[in-house]
Amino acid sequence: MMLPLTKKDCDDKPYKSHSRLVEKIGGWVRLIISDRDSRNLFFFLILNLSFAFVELFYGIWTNSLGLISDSFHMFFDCTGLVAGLIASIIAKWRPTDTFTYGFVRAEVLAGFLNGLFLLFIAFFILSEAVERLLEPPEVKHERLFLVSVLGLLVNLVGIYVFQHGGAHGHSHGGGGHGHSHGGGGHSHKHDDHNPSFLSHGHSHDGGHGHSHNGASHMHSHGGDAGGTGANKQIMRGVFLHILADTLGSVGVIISAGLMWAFEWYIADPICSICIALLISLSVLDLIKESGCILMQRTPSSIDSQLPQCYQRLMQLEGVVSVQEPHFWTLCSDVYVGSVKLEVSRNGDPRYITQNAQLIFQGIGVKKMTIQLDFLLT
Amino acid sequence: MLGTSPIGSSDNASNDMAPKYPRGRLNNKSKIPWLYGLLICCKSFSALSSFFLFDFLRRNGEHSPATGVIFGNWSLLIQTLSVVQILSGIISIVVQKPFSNWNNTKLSKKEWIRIFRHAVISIILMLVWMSGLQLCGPFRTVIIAAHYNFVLAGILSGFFISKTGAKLRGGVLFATGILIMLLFDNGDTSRENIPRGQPTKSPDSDVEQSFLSASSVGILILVLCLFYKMGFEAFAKNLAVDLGGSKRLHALSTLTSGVILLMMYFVDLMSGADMIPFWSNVFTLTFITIFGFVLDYYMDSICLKRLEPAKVARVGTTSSMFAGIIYAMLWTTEETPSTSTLLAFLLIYLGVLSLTSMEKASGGGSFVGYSSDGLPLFSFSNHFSPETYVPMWKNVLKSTSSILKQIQDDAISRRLFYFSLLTMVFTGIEFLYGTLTNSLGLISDGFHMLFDSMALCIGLSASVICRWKPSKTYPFGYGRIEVLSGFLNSFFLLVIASMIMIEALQRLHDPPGVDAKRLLPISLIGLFVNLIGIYTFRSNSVISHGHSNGHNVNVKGVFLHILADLMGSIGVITSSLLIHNYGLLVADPICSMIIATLIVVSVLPLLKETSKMLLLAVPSGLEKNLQQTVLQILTTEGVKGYRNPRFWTHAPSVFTGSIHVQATEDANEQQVIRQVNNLFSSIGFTHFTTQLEKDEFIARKSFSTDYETQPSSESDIGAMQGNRLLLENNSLEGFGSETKFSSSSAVTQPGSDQEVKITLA
Repeated sequence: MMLPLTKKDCDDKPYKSHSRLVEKIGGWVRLIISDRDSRNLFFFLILNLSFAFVELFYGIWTNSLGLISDSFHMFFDCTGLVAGLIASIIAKWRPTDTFTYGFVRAEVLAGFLNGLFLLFIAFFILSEAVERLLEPPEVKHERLFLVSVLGLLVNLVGIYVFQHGGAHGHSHGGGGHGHSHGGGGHSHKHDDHNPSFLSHGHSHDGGHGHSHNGASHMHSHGGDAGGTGANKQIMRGVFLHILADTLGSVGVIISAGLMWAFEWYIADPICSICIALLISLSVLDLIKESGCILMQRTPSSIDSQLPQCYQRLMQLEGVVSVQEPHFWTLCSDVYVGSVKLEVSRNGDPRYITQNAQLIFQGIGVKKMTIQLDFLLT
Repeated sequence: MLGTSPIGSSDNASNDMAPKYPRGRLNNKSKIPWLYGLLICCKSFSALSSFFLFDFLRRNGEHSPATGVIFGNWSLLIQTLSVVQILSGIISIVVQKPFSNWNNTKLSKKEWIRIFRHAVISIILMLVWMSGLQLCGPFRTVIIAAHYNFVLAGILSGFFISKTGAKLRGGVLFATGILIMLLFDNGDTSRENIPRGQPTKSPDSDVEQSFLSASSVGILILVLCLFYKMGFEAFAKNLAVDLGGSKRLHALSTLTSGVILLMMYFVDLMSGADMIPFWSNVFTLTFITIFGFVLDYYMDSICLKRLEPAKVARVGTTSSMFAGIIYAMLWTTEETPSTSTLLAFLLIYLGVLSLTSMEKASGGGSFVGYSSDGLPLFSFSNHFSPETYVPMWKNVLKSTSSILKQIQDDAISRRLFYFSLLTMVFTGIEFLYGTLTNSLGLISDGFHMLFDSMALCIGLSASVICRWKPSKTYPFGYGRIEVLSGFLNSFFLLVIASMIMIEALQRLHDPPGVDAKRLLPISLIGLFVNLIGIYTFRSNSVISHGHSNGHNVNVKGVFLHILADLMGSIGVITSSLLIHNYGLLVADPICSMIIATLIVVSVLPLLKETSKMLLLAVPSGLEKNLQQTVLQILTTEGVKGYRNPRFWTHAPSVFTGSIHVQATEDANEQQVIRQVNNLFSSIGFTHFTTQLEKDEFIARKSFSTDYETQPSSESDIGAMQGNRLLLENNSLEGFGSETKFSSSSAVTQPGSDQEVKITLA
């Protein structure tokens, strides 16, 4: 973990001046800007919000209800970004009494939340589309066209920014549609460019880098977990969110074009249904993955390697049996484990503990607790 | 026809005709052709009887205009069905004599209640089925309803389990056929068959009408009914076993439903409905009863028991489908089926053939007997490649019934199940009526209900899954899914609340005219359903409120969801009353805003609780205890210090933790570990791991700075505050130390394998 330990954080309590709030906000901003991902998030959020405000004020000025409702929609969309941003800040908090592992889980939770949010939106779009299918409303395409082109531009900026920001997760935007291979290649390139300082994380890269489902694919890039990788779930969620918005804008543009050219009023709901389906398909992967992490599933990337580890443990001198192995993912690519070893009376605890730690580090479990139970006989 | 098909036929030797025939299909081969012949006859008559029924319904639907106040358009169906059910109930009582052997199996009150439930559900099913028949005509009904349960299960398994082979092909063909009927088959017959009371449509609604015609709605009903029946029968299996045989259950349930229907009939008559001229139709009704309901059922049960189900399904479905098409050609009042119907017929038939053909190919196993669900069991031991022909539909049935059993095992999930069923039924009804009457308000409310029932389903599945045993992939058990579901539900509520808020703000800006009259009945129904829900889950949520720990976050989430809906209904009722009476258009957005705020306020504690759990917080009630316990470790004999104390809540009652303890050189390792573990298990930790490290180990690893050592002489000085600070500092360093550790060991890591070997040697 690279925790930026700023001085201000350490002695927060002694300061009780009136400028505390300013200082706090300043601290937050510094915290946001210190990390590339959250910086991107922040700026994109500001862009989005300003767009929404411009829309809102223009809507109020021209008294156009459509614009106002679209601006509300934009605000609503921003909540996903806000959630991502907040989570990326919270994830940097240090462990406390109540949260002994720190808040790194916030990242997974934010990814999960964004996924759920998108699913909800997809459902909402679907229901609206079905209603429109039954009763196609009059759509004023001229106005819609302009707004959605602007929205598309904003979202394209977002996609561009986040594609460059945290490249690894993004292959998964397409992952739901079966493009994970292309994504894999991209991520590997990224790997090469990044001087990875935790070399041991790569030991299993080759074996799993090309598996086909999204879940194991993403775990295979365990190497660059240090800096940006920690925010992977958040960034994935946010990216999917932006992708969904972009899809929405494209859909509106297409259907507006169709309505304008051919008077196909049914194009709008059909486009909406397609978009809703696309969104839910692309988001399912994220939800499943983060749900598994939240459920404390044994990390799927080390799933297959665990039996070998037990074998090797048993080969250690003095180890009789391996009991209650528990492995789980703390946040992306940080695995935690605990295991109980039954040890014969004459086993050397130091030797066993040390080697067991090494064995599990070999597969990337960095936080390991090994309990030795000595047999009485 | 739609009757409950036999289930659990192996365990009713005592009271049906099984003793007359020796068991198994192998010992009297001469009878098999006879049975097939009988089956064909039966099926064709049964198909004929649905034509009769349709004709009867249509004739009476046209002639008798007066309907009851209570049941409205349903009164015709109820009257007809009550006569049919009473008749068939009497016949099956005579045949079956379920009361004959009272001596050993006296029915308890509970069993009567279950029979009653069974009867009510089957009444609903039959009514829905009959309305489907009314909507889409007899031919389509025969095509759809002629299928056996396990064939349908085969379709499902084809889609979800086996991705290849005849099942999938059959399933795709079947589904395509149904889709063709749904989308392209809006023949003229459907128009005039729409039941009375069909609201007049405005002329501009013709576009939508072509999208979903009445016949396709009917088909949708029938298909849903078919699959619902499948689940229902799997569910009724337990009851059948308890009562001693599915036929006995059938007889009792038919009789009960007949009685219930008769009561409904009288209520209907009293509320002003006209009586259907039964006496002039005695022949028709008797025919329908005997061939459509009674004989069909018994024939199926006998054939399924004595012959191969796949073959029975093939022959039975074929005969009823072809009988249907022949009647449809010959029937005078019915138009000849359109080409799209014929195409759908062909597709469905091919689908059924390929669905049942695999069974035939696999029928080589030696016949052993029947499973509890009336399906034959084959022993595959002396045959080649047994895996290839384990019938998939059996697996589906088996897993379905095991899931249902799991649901039945727990009170909470049972309640959730029934309530979600109720919600889904209401959702279906709303969609149905919405599409029928073309009311957008109903449909959008239907989507809302659909969302609610999805939330309920999530809660239900969570409550089932959380009781699963820990597995290899989920070493701590599945208890966390409850937390996840509670989180999900509360999050959804929050989103809904914010959406309501946004909508309300927009309406405040520009209050639209609200059709108060239209909204009122919907929201009254919603209120009613939600009141039932509140009543059902009240006790559970009270428990969880009393328990500050939040015993069951899952149920709490569901409860809050229902509560929010209830508030929504109340708000809509209030605002529509205000609008209606005083013309206060602004009441609607204000009500919405109040409701949104209420939802947010009520949901925030749950959201906080669950997200804390998901963020791996220390168990909420245990913070104080934990500090003391950690301090107690230091006073334990032989302990010098500790490192990395980590605790978290896995599930509401599963607490987990791990700690690294530094021991003195001469300490007894086993004793220290046991003492530490005991300390933690005494305050409720279920999984706890202690790693013991001695001085030399630490010296080598250069850990010593990370340890929080505390000499025993100072331990009494350490006040609460100071200790807490210690703990904090300690955990602060946790991450740093780990990183250090890993980076320092990274050098040796690649060779760790060899190292181990060397030391071993």
